Amino acid sequence: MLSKVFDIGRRSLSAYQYAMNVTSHNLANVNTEGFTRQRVVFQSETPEYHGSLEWGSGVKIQDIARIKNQLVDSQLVIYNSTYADANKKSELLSEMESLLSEPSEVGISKLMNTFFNSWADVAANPSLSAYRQNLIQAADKLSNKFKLINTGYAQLKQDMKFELQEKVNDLNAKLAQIKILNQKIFEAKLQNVVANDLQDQRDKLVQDISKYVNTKVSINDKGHLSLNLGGAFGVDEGNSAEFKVNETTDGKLTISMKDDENATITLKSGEFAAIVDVYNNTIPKFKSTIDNMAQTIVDKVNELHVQGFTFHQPPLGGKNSVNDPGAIKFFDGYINGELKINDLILQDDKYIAASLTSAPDNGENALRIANIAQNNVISGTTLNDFYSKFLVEVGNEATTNQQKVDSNKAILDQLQLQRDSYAGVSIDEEMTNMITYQRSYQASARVIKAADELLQSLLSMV
Amino acid sequence: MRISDRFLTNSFLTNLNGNKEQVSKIQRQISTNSKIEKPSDSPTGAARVVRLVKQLDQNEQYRNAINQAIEFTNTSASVLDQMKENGTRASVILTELKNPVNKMIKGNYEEQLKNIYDIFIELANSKHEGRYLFGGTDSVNQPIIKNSAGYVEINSDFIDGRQMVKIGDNLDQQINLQGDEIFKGFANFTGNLNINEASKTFTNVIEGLDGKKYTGEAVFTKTGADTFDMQFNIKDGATTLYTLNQNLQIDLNTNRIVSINGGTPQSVKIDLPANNISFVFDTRHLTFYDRPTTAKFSDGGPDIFNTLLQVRQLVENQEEVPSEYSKVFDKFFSNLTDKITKLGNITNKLNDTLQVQDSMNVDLTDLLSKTKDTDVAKAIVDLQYYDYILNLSYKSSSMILPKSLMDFI
Repeated sequence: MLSKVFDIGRRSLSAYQYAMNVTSHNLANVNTEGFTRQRVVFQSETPEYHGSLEWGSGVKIQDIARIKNQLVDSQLVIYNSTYADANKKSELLSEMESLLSEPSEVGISKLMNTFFNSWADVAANPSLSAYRQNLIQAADKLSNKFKLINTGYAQLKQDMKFELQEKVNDLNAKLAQIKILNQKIFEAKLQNVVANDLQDQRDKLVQDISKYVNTKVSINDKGHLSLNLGGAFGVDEGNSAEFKVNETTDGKLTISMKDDENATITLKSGEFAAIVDVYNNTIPKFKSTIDNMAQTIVDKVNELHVQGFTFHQPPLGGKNSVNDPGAIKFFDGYINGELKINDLILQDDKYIAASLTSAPDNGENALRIANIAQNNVISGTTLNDFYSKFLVEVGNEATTNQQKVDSNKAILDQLQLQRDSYAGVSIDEEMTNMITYQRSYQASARVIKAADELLQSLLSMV
Repeated sequence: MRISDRFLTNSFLTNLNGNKEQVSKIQRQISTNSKIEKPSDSPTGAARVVRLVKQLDQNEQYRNAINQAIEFTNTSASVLDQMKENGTRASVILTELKNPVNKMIKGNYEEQLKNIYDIFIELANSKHEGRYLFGGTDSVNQPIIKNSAGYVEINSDFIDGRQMVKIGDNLDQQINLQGDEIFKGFANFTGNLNINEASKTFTNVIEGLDGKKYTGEAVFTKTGADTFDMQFNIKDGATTLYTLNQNLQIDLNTNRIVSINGGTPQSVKIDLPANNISFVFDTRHLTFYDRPTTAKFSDGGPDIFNTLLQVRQLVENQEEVPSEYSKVFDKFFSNLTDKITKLGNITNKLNDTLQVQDSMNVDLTDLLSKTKDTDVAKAIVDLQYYDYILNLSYKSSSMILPKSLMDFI
C-alpha cells in the first residue's frame, strides 16, 4: 500500500509541474498580441476498487484549455473589416483634401480670385506692361495649382495601386500560412493534442485578413478553418487561393483569383474596399469637378479673349470665334492637367487682348474677362460658388467618413477590451495560481517524504 | 468583470490617445490661429471662408482701382485748373491789346501768347503713370500735335475713348475726360466704318467764330474692295458753302487709310473767312473692319489751339484781333468749368464708393475672423482643461499599471 502513496505523490508532482509550465507560459505571453490565456483543467485519477472500497489514485491533467469567447472573436472579424475600411478611406480622403490646400493663400479659390482680379487691374491700366506681367504670373500660379492637384491625384492613384498590390501579396501569404496551420492543427489533433498556440496564430491571421477584406469564417469538425473572401474561396483544409490586382481598360481596379480574372472578390468592407472605391469612384469624381472648372476657365477666357485686340500697332485679334484663323487665345487649352498659357503671350505680354475697340488704352475686353468671376458660367452658378459647393462635398465626405471611423473604432475598442478581459493574461491571477501550484507541489513532496519515513520505519524493524 | 493586464494597458492607451488628440488639435488651432484648416474641419465653414475671401479680394481690388482712379481724376483736375489759369491770362491779353497804349509793347504780348500756346499743347498732352490724361484710350500717340502744315490737329485715333474702371460688383466708372469733349472744334472721325457698307453718311454741326451754326455732311461711298470716295459739304440751309472730295485707299491688313487722294493721309484745315469758319477736318483716324459701323464724327468749329495760334499771328502782323476770338475763349472756359465740375462729381462718387468699400472691408474682415480664426481665450482654457486631464491620466496610470501581486510576495 505504501507504493500507492508514492504513486499518488509522483503523479501530483508531475501534474503541478505541468500546471506551473502553463502558468509560466501565460506569464511569458502577457504582452503577445492575439495570445489566448490557457487554463489547466485538473481531474482526479481513475480510482481503484478493492471489494466494496474505492481507493483514490490522485490527480491528473485532463486538458489545457484556451479561454476564449467565440462570439467576441466573430464580432471582431466583422468590425475589424468595417473599421479598416472607414479608416483607410479617411486616410486617403485626408490626402486628397490636403492637395486642395483649402482654405489658404495657395488654394484654387484664392489663386482664381487673383487671376480674375489681375484682369480687372489690366482693365484699369491696359497700357502698363507691369499689370500684364502680373496677370501672366497669376495665370501661371493658377495653372500650377491645377497641375499640382492633378499630379497629386495621379501620384496618389499610383501609390494606392502599388499599396493594393502589396497588400494582396500579403493576403496570399497569410492564406498560405493558414493552410499550413490547418494541416498542423489537424495532425496534432490526430495525436490527441490540442494545439492552442497554433490556433492562436491562425486566429491572429484571420483577424489580420479581416482588416483587408470582408471575411466569413467557418471551422469544421476536423478543426479546419475555411475563409470566404467577398464571395471568393480563400482557404480550406487543403487549399489556399492566390489573388491579384487587375485594372480594366476604363481604369477601374478589381481583385480576382490569380488564375481566373472573372472570379473577382465582391468588396464590401476592409482596406481593399476603401482603396478600390476611392481609386475607382472618389478620385475620378473629384478630378472631374476640377477638370470641369479648369476647362470652363479656359473656354470662357478664350471665348472673350479672341474677340479683343492686342496691344500691338496695328492691333491683332478681333475674331468672332476661337476657331477663326488668326484668333489669339489666352490659353492654348487645358492640357495634361494644366492651364497652358499661349506661348505668344508668355513671350510678349502685348498679345494680351485687353482692348475691345483696338484702342491701346481700352480695357473693356479685360473688364469682360474679369467679370467672368461674377457670371454664372458653370452649372448655373459662378466659378467660386461651384468650387465652394465642391469643397462642401469634399468636406462632408471626409467628415461623414470620419464619423464612421469614430463609431467603428468605439465598437472595435470595446470588443477588443472584451476579448482582453476574457482571454488576456492577468499577472495577479497567474501569480495566485503559481503560489497555489507551488504549495500543492510542496504538499505532494511532503506526502512522498512521509511515505519514505514510513518505509524507513518498516525497514528499521527488519 | 475580469481585468487582465492587457485590458488595463489597452484601456489606458485608448483614453490617453483620445486626450492627446484633443490637446494636439487645440495646439494646432492656437499656433495657426485658424480653426478651419481643411474642408473637413467644417465643410460649410470652409465654403464660407472661400466666399468671404473672394469678396475680400474683390473689395481689395476695387479699393486699389478707386485709389488709382482718384489719383487720375485729381491729376486731370489739376491740369484743367492750369489750363483755365493760362486761358484766363490769354483772355486778359486780348482785352489789354484793345488798349492802344499796350500796342507799344506788343512784342511782350506776342511772347506771352506763344508761351501760353506752348503750355496749352503741353497740358493737353499731360500724362499720369504713362497714360495721356486726355488721349481717350490711346496711350501710344500724343493726343494733340502741331503738324508740318503749321496748324494743330488731333493725332490720336481714340481720343474719344472712355477709360472704364470697375469699382463695384455692378459698378463701372469712366474716370477720364475724353479729349474731344475738352478740345472741341476738330471735325474728327473715330471708330470703325464697315468696309462692306456701300454708302454711309455722317452729319455734324460746324460752328463759326461768331457762333453761327452750319451743317456738315460727309458721304462715304465704296468704290472698290479697298477704296472709298468721301465728299464733305458745309451747308448753310440749302446752300452749299464748301465741298471737299477725298479718295481713300485702305490697307486691308491694317484696316487703316494708307492714302488720301494718292498722297500721305493728312488732315485738312478749312478756313472760310467770309463765314467766320475755321476748323480742322480729319478722316485719318477711321478704321475699316468687317464689322458694324461704330464710327463717330465730332462737331467742327474753332478750337482753342488754332485760335490761340491765329491770335498770335494777328498780333505778330499788328492786326486787330476781332472780338469773335474772345467768344471762343469764353466758350472754352465755360466748357472747361463744366468739365472740372464733372471731374469733381466723378471724384466725389469715387470717394463715396471708397468709403462704402472700406466699410465693407471692415465687415468682411470681421466676418472672416469670426468664421475662421481661433477663439484664443477659449482655446487656451480648453487646452488647460485637456492638459489637466492628460496629466491626471499619466499620474493615475503610473500609479496603477506597474503594480501587481508580485510587488507584495
